[in-house]
Amino acid sequence: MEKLQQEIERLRRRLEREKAARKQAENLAEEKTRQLYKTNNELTLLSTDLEAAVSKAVGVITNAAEGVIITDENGIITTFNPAAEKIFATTAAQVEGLNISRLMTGEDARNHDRHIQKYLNTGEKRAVDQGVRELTARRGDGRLIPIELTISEMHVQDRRMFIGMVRDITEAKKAKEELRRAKEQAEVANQAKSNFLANMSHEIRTPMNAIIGFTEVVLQDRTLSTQTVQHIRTIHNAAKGLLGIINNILDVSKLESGKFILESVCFHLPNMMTDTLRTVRQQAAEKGLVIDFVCAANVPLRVQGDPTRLRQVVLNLVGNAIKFTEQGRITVLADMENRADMIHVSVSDSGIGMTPEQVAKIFEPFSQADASTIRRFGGTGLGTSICKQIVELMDGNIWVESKLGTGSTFHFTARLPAKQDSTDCLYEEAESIVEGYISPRLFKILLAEDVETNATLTMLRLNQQGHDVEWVKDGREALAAFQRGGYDAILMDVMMPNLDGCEATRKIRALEKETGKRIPILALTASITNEDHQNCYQADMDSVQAKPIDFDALLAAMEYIIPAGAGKPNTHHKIEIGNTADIDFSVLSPVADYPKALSTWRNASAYAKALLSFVREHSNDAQEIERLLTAYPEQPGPARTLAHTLKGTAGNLALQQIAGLAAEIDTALKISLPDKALPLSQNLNDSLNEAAAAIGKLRLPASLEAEKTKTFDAEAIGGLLEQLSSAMEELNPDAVEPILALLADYLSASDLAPISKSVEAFDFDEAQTRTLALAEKLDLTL
Amino acid sequence: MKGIVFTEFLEMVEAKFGDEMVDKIIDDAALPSDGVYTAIGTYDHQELLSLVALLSEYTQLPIPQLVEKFGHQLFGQFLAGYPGFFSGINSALDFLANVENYIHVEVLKLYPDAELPTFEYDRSIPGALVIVYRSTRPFASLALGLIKGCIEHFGEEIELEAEDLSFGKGTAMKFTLVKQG
Repeated sequence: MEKLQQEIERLRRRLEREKAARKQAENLAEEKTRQLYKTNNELTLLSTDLEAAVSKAVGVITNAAEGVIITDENGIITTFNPAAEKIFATTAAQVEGLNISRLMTGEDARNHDRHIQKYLNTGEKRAVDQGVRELTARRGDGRLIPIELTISEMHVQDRRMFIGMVRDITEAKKAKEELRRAKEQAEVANQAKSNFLANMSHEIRTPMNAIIGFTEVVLQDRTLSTQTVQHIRTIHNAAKGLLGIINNILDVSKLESGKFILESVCFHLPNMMTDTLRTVRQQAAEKGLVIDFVCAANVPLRVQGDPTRLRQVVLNLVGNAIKFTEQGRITVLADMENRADMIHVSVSDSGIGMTPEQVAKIFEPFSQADASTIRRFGGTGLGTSICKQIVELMDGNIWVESKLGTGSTFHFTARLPAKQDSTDCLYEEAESIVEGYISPRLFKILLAEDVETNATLTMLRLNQQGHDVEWVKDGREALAAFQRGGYDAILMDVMMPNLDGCEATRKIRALEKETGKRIPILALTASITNEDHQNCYQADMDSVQAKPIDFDALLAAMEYIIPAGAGKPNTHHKIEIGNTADIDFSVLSPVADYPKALSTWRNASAYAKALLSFVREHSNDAQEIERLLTAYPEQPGPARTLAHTLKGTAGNLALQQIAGLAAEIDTALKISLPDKALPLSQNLNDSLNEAAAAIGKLRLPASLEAEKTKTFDAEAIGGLLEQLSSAMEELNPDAVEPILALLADYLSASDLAPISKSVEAFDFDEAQTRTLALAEKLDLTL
Repeated sequence: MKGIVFTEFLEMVEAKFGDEMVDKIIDDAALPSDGVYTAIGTYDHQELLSLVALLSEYTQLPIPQLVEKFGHQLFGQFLAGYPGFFSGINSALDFLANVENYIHVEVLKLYPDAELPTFEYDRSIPGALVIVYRSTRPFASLALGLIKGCIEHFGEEIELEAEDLSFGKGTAMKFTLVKQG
């Protein structure tokens, strides 16, 4: 019973424990329920927010102006917005679930797949996040259109997605293409305009040259009235101004059409600047202005560049300075920029200056200070713009500092690398490049000159101008030629064998007394003494030119002394510079001032040839002088003649030392001091040998080399002349020609020309006479 | 400690030693909860230790053996109560390897306040699994029982070795399971 009691008690406690446990579980369940309710409320709120966010995002995608295409990482389209539907002419339903590459053309699709794959494998970004790319899209209707595509990447719940933003650029491309075409057309039109301008300018220049040339010719006419001369001067000046404008326009069109090419030669910079400024010095002086040129010590003497265009820039700036300055100075300064090879030149004036507005526009084409400037000062306004383009082609800059009323300073820089080597440098001797004189009229000239080299040079330079020259070798021949007639003037050497220049002139003047005509006679003399020149004038010559001949002066003198109506107009307007064979004369530098000689001869081959015949003909002159002086101390005449001739010939060839010694001997013998002349002849001999050695070292073209190798061979020449003489007796030109050809190997053309001329004229008597005269000259007995 | 451990423990005591023993250890232990447990409640694990200690005393069986036996039986309850954890799993090694990173993660979702032991794994040897049990509480034997229950459930032949890493405290143990054949 007690045990049962205990059992009931135990079960009761157990029941209580179970009740308590149930109560505990109910409490826990209630609490969990409350928590769930709360959580549910929170979730509802969250889901409303989420829904709003999602619909916002969807709204953005749906209403986006750009096509939005979202793909998974395999390129399968998951989202395709309405804008994309419009661009691709397809519906979302048609493409969602398909690979995006079906919207592209073959190559784009392959590239796209490759780029994406590469990106997924390596992370190398070729398409993703690389900004805008241009592709061709394939539309639903099969049309291909250009699109712009931007790809970016996003991660949604650990899944990678690609978002493509697409824009149809068909219209934009079309507009761009039209713009490009319009630009091309405009460029073509501009090019055509430039070509037209270049051609027109050229067409205009040609008649302009005639206008200027002939007004110059007309101005030579001394019979014109002052009034007429004034009018023609006006025409001349106007034409020159017009030519300047045309040249500017030509330059502008060349610059625009890219045909403006700089040359690159070595030139002497200070000489070139001096020479350039000399041409405007007169113009400045007429306004009472002074031009100063200052060249800094650090400026290299010889530079590489285009001297003609540099000159153009300087002339333009200085020309403007003169134009806009009423009084004061114009200062031209050349120095070095800090940068290597950069020359800086400034041109300062004390002129009217410019306002800042004018300064701002000064280098623009077709712009001038203002309209009133054009009225006051003229000009096209192209000059400074051309200068700007030229210096820019020279890697330089141009700028201006100016103050209204105080003056302007124009600066420019140009890259002109220094050159050490002085050979083939222009402006090396400033005189050598002065624009040559151009004869307005062409004449038939009789040249009396006994020394072949001198005659060759004179004929060469006169022929270059277009004059017709006939050469005779002494006064007697000159007199005979004069009597045949047909010459506009005679150039008469003074010292000649048989009959000297003065005597020949007197005889000519005597003959003229019967006809009443008067031929202009110009004396050529190696003498520079006043007395000798007076002798010429007393012989009734019209002008005297000293040797070595300054050909510009000689040509000008010819033009001056030959009366109007003679000669024919010169239509060439250009000196033929003739043969400029590439001969290195530098081996001559110890004995000859060859740059000077070249500027006189203007023909390298002719100069070289003259040097060779000098060696042939004058190598023994010093010994001969010595022999004559020793044998006939009381009669220095023949020795003096030799010295005198040598002086002139050597002078023409710029063999300075020989010419100097010959001149000293000439002077000594003139005042009968053979004792003084004798030792000099020894020195002269040394100089002649030295010159012969140097000339022997010249490397010459084959044609001239032949001339050099066949030295004078008295026996061979004598034999040939004998054959020639007997051939002439047969009166057969065909027999004569081959012999003349053989002789040409030994003798100069000028020796043989008179003979072959006579043969051609079937005047065999005359030919015979000349052959004998030649033999006599060569000291050969037939 | 989750209430289910207590309720299952008392179920086991009742089944093995009779309901008198249940009442006896509850009465004698003088527990703060008065022995009132529900499966979804949470109780101090010291209460379980007290109950186990008294059971050992009254039955003259060692504590680890009792706890291991309990673990063995608890596995059967888990299997019946949470079949989702077992679907698609055919081997003890696969199941055990999932405990830390799957089952414990799910438990924490339901009971954020649950204090769970940690399991570290080494599966570098094919056909073998090394598990290191660490807990703030001395229930390594419970884990041993659970593992044995698991092996029994999948019916595989697996050699199990247990090495105490806590000098007899029962807070850390290394289990090495090697599948035979």
